[in-house]
Amino acid sequence: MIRSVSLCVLVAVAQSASAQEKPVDSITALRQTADKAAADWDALAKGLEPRIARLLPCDPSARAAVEEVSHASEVRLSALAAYLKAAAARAKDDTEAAKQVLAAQAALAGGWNTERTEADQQGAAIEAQVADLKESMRKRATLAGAEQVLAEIARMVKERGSKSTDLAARKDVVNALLGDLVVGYQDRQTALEKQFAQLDVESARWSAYYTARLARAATECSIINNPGGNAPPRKKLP
Amino acid sequence: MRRACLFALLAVLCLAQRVRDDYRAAYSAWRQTDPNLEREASAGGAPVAQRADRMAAEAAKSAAARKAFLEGTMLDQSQQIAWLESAAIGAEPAAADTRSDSQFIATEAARVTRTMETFASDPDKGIQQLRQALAREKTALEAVGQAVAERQKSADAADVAAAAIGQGRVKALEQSRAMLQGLKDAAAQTAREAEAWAEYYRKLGEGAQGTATPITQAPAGVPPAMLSNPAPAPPSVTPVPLARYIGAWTYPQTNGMFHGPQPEFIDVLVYEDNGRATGTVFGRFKLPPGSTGDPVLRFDFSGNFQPTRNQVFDLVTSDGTKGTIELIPGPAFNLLEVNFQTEPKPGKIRQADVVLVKK
Repeated sequence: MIRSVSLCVLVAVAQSASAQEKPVDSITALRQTADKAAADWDALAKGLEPRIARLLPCDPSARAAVEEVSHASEVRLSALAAYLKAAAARAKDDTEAAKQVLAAQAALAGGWNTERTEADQQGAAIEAQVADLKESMRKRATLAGAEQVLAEIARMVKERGSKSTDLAARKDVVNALLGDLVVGYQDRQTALEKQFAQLDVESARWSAYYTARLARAATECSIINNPGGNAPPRKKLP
Repeated sequence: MRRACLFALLAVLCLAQRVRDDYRAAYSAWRQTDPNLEREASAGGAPVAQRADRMAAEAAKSAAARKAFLEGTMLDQSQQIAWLESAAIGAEPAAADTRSDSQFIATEAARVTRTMETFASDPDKGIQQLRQALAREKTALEAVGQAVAERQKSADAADVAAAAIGQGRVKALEQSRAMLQGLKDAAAQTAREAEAWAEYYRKLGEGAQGTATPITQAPAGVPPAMLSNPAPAPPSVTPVPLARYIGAWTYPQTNGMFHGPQPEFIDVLVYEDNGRATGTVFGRFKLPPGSTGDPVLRFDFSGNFQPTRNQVFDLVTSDGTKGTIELIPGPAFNLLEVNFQTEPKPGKIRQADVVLVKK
């Protein structure tokens, strides 16, 4: 019999609906998008300086090249953030599920103690039956066949109790293993959430870097166009 | 999608823990039907055979109810195993790897530094402006580098956790499968015992009166017996309902109340069986920065419920440390204050007081 059936159905429906909103495949798609965007930025970023080196400081293509890499950086960081957000949400679900498995397994493992107790109680009841039946056998020997079967049942129940004892002994091991698993999932969730938060800071700093890089390009151009009343640069910029 | 469905099922199964009431009631009914049968079997005759036949029918009902319980529990266990099997952690994306970023930052920082050094002693005003722009760029690069390094630490932590999960899953699966096999064995044993009981009552009837009528067995698929006049629940020893103590309790993720170390999470399970409480506590606490202590605490507790509002039980942690736990029903039915202390042990959480909500 299942307790709180209606509540369970509601939870199942709610969880299923939630699951449908976050299809598992979306994580894979987000990962692929993030990987592609990162590769795009990497290629552009590595090629930026050689590309600019062939241009004059005030060539509009130089600024456009920096802006292109800057944009690629934003795209890849956004894609990574989207992936991390989804991965952290999934990790949270995993943590909750692991906790539920731990709770259910703890209950199940604890149930073997109950099995053993019940087997002991049943064994005692059968022993009483055997004693009564043996008393009856004094007057009616034809009950011997039944007594043999009852003795066999007593042996089976004892064996059941023994197996339950063995399984009950696994309780601590199961709890410890699943407890460690919960900690692992929790740690992963925390790490992913942290990465997501740190990426926000990192994005702002990449943005500041590309702003500084553009400012340097503008400065290089201004030196060429308006040497500031000073002598033009005497050294070629690397 | 399969994982999500399994997660939903797990949520349901957690709430819907199988209870033994049905098969216990059937067993009790069987045992109370004719407790004097064996003692009076010597009288012999048709009445004894009929009584044995009736007992056989009750035994079959009891076995069917127990089979239903075990099959339900096996189903729950199978779902948990299915989740464990499907809960592998996929590879992190290459985009999360910061090596490329670090390489870029190092290359650019070196380039900017070289350029700055080239113009280090140039008095030209324009060049000085360029040096300042380069210095700002270098500062920005250093700031990015720090952020990237921080994120890499978290990425490494995620990798370490994923590896631990991978290893833990394999071990947990092994134990969970052993439990499932135990349930299967128990179900098979129940079937064998049911056959033996049928044989026993048949022989008892035959022994009492030549040949007995065939023993009735509950055919496969017949639902377990239901009591039409179920007995009321036994009175609880505690002054408040047992439901105020037993069940699954958790620390709320927001606005949690605590004294002592702050919990990150705590899950408490409390069971009751014949007036005896058993339970587990599993939690992790936030440690002060720089602390090298163990934030994880896990212990079992047990003891008899007492006729007092606050229940105190002995506990033993996973590393053998002893202590006590106090369960205090909260101001609302779904709140439980849990206060525990253990023997002092270096680097271990030894006491906490938290208010939990019922799951």
